[in-house]
Amino acid sequence: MGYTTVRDRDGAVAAAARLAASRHDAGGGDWGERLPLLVDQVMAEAGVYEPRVAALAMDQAAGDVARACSLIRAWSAVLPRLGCVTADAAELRVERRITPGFAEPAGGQYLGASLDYAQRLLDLGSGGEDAPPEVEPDGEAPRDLPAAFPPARRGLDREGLLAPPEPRAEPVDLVREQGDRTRRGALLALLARADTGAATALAYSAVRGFAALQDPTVVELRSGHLPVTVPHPDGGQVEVGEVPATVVELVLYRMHGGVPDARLTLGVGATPGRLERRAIAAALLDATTTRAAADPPARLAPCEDAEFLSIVLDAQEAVGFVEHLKLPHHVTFTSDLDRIRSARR
Amino acid sequence: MTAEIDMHRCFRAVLMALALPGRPQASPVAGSATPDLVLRSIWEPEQVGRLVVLIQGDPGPRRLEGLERGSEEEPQRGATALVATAGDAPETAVWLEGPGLAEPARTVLPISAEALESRSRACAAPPAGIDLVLVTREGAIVGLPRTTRVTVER
Amino acid sequence: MRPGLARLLRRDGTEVGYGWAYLDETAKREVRRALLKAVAVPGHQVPFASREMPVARGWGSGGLQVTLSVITPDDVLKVIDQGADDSMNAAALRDLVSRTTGVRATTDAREATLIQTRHRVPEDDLHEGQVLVFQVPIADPLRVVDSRPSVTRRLHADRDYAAVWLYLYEDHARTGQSSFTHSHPVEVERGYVMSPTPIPRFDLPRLDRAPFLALFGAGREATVYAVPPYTRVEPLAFADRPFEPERFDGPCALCGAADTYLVEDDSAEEPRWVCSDTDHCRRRREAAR
Repeated sequence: MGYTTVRDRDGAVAAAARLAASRHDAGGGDWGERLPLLVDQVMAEAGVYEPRVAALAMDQAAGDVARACSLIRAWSAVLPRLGCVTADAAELRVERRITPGFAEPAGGQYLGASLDYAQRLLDLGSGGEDAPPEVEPDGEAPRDLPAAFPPARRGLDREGLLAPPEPRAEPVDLVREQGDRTRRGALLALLARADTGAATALAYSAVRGFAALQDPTVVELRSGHLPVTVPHPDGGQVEVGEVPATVVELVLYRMHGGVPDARLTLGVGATPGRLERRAIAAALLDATTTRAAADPPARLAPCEDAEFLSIVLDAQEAVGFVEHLKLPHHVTFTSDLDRIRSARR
Repeated sequence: MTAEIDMHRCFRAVLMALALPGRPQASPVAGSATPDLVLRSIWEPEQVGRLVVLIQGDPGPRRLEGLERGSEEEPQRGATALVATAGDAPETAVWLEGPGLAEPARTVLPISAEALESRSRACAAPPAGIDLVLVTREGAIVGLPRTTRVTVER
Repeated sequence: MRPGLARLLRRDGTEVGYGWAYLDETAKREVRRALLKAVAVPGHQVPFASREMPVARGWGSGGLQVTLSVITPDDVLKVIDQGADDSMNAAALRDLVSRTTGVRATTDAREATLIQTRHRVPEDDLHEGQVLVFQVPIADPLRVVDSRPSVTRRLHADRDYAAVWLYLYEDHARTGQSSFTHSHPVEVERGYVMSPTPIPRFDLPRLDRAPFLALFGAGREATVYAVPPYTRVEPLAFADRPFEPERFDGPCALCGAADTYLVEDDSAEEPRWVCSDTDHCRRRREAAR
């Protein structure tokens, strides 16, 4: 597992692509190794970190992500629960750290393995003299990332420019607890395993303008592995494993309409795995709903409406209900027709 | 590839001609080949006669105001008149003002005063209007977008 | 080993499988038609059939389509993001344009003839003949008053800008200042209201009656617009509430410039402020030696 930091940023584009290539086995190997981001998506939406199970479920679901998540969630719902831990995001072992809001943050930016900056040119062939220049897996020794990064939002915090997240989120186990899903903790949990497309579309609607004018800026994105530690029966803590995760902190500028206290709204999003738009969308929706919490409900756009989001974001519920329309409905349909005919007589 | 590059240079000349009205831009090919190159660089064959109209010689006192002018909501539908001037084209001294001109500029255009009056009528209701691209036999490309106010010098 | 599809699709050009300047001729003509009308109607958003590009929507696909349709082999190209040439996205865009055209690239804004930019106008004095291509995220300045293009198209057609002036009025009445940050709406030739893209307010005076041609490409929203040289571009502001650009507390810590747009640098012992236009800053430092 390597990473590269480069001074000359033109070299960085190639280096980031090299790293991404070196993790891929372009031919051979099972599909789970070739398509790691798809595996990440399945694990994130299912809410279960187990890559082999994700790959297996996808095989059995013929590649349908929603169906694969169904299989996994159903399987995991009845597994015995051994414990519950809270992992501190600050403990994330960072492999990639970017700060779009700041050009030169304390600690620096590390692109890591990312396809972000590689051009989306479809590579149509393999080998032969016509092939475009190959991207060779990187053989360079990795440079060490700092052990810890100061949070990029620290300066904003000190200057008093951040509205503290209100209310503070309490962790919620959505599977086992019932209750109000619009509480911030519940919404964040929902966002962590939301349907990727739905969350992205709704976050897009916020930036695109189907809401009050608000300007989001990602303050920090960190991707890496989160250690999971549990109390040891004999005392002390023991690390039992690590989960790949991406955490995003985002701030929202929304000043129009007059605010008693001019500040940025902080949003936080996280996802298992490395499909970063999941974490960005989650952070954005956390910020928009927090900021709009004081607005009258009638004026809320969908992306600001915690109640709306709590209903549409879960893929299982949405997919299940949309697809249920394939079930027989002739009894209900006969009833509809009865009323139409009656109205026309 | 040469043909592609000629089209790139040709379009750039037309773009700058409309961005800097009245100032001749050089065509990458011979004057006689330029009108055809302009058409091929910018329009599809089926659009010639509609979105762009090729006029050989002077447009005269009525042609320009008969062209499609576009609407308030879609001013971009206003036609482009590509005028391939003849060797003995009339010359009219004019003052030009408007976007693309740092200050009012005097120049001589290879087009008749009557055609310019017809153009003014076509452009009388901004943002609707027509846009003129003149190509001389020597391969000079001169642009008059609808925003340019033309005053004929008497 | 089966022959790659790339061989079947080979065309003459510097990059296998693609023509000169990447786009096919139909795509270029579509952009060109829109650009001509954009220049003829300054500030008006002209729709065009925007192609999927090898950069994601939102990452400069519109600016790229404009650049590729406008560029000639005689150009000298500069691509910047946040004012810096070595920004990741600028590097990727520049690389794609260079690879498919062979055009020479530069970081010096004074010698560039075609400059594609995201979020800044270069600090150097620019001159006539230069073309600036701005990357546009949100094309319509009236987005603040209605998200629907079907509504805002009509407002623009009627030059009905009362709602955005009211928006500005409410800001002043409630908070004593405008809430517009970057992307401050501007009036073009006393006609259309336009979004100058997310350049800082600091850069807006540079657009007014500028000697260069400004082209604006929105790939995702599928529109282009333009401001010819020497055209009036004025930020919306009430006469008795003057327009306020961003202000800085001191000069650039690297080159001493007191007239450039600065950004924060926290990489050193003490936080400091430095020019966002890295090449301009570098040249100022070199000239000082």
